[in-house]
Amino acid sequence: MKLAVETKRLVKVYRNGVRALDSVDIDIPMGRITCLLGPNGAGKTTFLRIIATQLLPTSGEAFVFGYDVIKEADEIRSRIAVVPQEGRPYLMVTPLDELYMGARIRGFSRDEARRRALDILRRLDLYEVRNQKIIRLSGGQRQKILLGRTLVSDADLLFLDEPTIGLDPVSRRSLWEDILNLKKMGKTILLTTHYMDEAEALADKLYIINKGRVVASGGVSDIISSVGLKTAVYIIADSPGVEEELSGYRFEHIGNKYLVYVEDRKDLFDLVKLAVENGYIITIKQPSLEDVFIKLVGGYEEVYS
Amino acid sequence: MRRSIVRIWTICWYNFLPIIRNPLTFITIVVWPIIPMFFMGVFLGEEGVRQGIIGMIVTSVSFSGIYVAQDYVFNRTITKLQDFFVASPVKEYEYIFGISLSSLLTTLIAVLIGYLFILYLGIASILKLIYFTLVILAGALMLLPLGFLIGSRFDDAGRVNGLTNVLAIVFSFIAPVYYPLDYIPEKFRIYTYFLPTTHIAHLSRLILGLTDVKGLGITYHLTIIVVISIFLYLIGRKYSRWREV
Ligand SMILES: Nc1ncnc2c1ncn2[C@@H]1O[C@H](COP(=O)(O)OP(=O)(O)OP(=O)(O)O)[C@@H](O)[C@H]1O
Ligand SMILES: [Mg+2]
Repeated sequence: MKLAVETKRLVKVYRNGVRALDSVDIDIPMGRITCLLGPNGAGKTTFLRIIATQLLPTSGEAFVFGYDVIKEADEIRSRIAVVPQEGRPYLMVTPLDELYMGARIRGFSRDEARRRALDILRRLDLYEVRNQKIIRLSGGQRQKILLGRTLVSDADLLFLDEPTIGLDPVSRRSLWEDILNLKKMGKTILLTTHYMDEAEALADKLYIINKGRVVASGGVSDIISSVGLKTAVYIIADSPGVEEELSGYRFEHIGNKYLVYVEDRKDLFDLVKLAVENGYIITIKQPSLEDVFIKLVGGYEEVYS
Repeated sequence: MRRSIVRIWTICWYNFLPIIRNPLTFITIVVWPIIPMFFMGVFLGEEGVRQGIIGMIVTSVSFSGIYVAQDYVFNRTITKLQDFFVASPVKEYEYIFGISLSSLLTTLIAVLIGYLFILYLGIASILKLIYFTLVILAGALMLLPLGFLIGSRFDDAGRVNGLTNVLAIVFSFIAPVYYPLDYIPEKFRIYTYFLPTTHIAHLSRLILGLTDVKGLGITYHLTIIVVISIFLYLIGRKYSRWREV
């Protein structure tokens, strides 16, 4: 698969001595959504700013579309666009002004810039408010304006640093739709987040980073299965024979509620069969990205071991 | 080249919009430098206005450096507009020119009002007015890099606003800007030479014949402005923050 971004042993040590990236190798495939997931201070923004040519690395190599971020920044800059973390539009201008500006700096003629701006505003559901001052718009609308300002650019590679921060669940989902549409248009997207559901919904490829290091990478389901967490099966049964039926498994119980950990699919299948045949109530909790994240990044004591 | 000009103009326009869209701010910006001239006119008559005009124009021009400092830090740390531009075809100089131009545009109205007064009172011939304009432009070229320098040294927009407000007072009221150097006792004049606006104002008065004091003379004042400009430009470049390290 062709790569839009490739980094090798990328290191960033800030002037105050903080080692924000510690030998990071990240590949971003073309035409896909790649997510960087990590807790606060993991180094996501640092990574993004280095490949967006906003920040110089301390050592290591980084290429965007084959161009070196240090020596060939100008080549890269005309092909990328960013939504910076916690960026804000000007409050006294209108959504149309913002997008028109975004298109004009990319070299589109006045008419073309206006046409593109209106088109994107329509697509982002901002057309109705295009001539309102941004100070009167909601946080979600402002966030969409920042996204729109990069979309008018026609850049192939978009960097979105926590684009859904502070949005309500409905607005977040609507922004996800917009981001998925970008993929359909053939754009390559790098998105940082610390929301699990966002990564689950959007990522074709996921990197979990912590303290400046990549701790897991791959597709979401690959990552979950590679970590080797077990599936938790809850069975509620009041028949006296149940303990015997479960004797082949490792289980614990409180009264009638049994908790069984299974590793392979056959065991899971057998348990479902057992429950259905005997009329037990069964609840299956497969390991989620959140469980994996907690295991890899730490937090509280591991739930499954 | 053409694209570059379009980008400069776009940034200028975009940066200027919030100011004109906010009429109260705009009026304050325009009216503020005029107020001292108004009172000088009331209390000192026409001679007060003559001196006050210079003060008003020089103050407006020095304000442009101050707005640049405020915009520069605001766009870098609060709106993240600079990050947005860095990761785009916009070049650093285009951005700098763009926000400088919009700052100059902001001060333009007050400057034009000053020119109208100069013409109305018959203070200067057209030739002198051209020399005067050149001095004012040189002044702007000195104060804009100062603005960028201040804007790049702090990461806190609030502190920059505080500092530039103090500077505005020092540059317009401590320095002999609204009044000529004549009013300052000879042995203290040397201290006012440390303030950049002194040179712009005094040079203007020398050219327009509004002072009896020679000061350092036209050549030296001009040289000082040029030297300070180059110096500020160079350290501004050294500390400029486009791509961060
Ligand atoms: N300009 C800077 N100077 C010094 N240290 C910095 C700077 N920017 C970030 N850091 C430090 O580098 C580390 C990584 O920061 P970064 O902003 O990349 O994290 P992040 O993963 O984006 O976090 P968040 O989810 O909170 O945005 C943190 O420890 C942070 O304190
Ligand atoms: Mg971040």
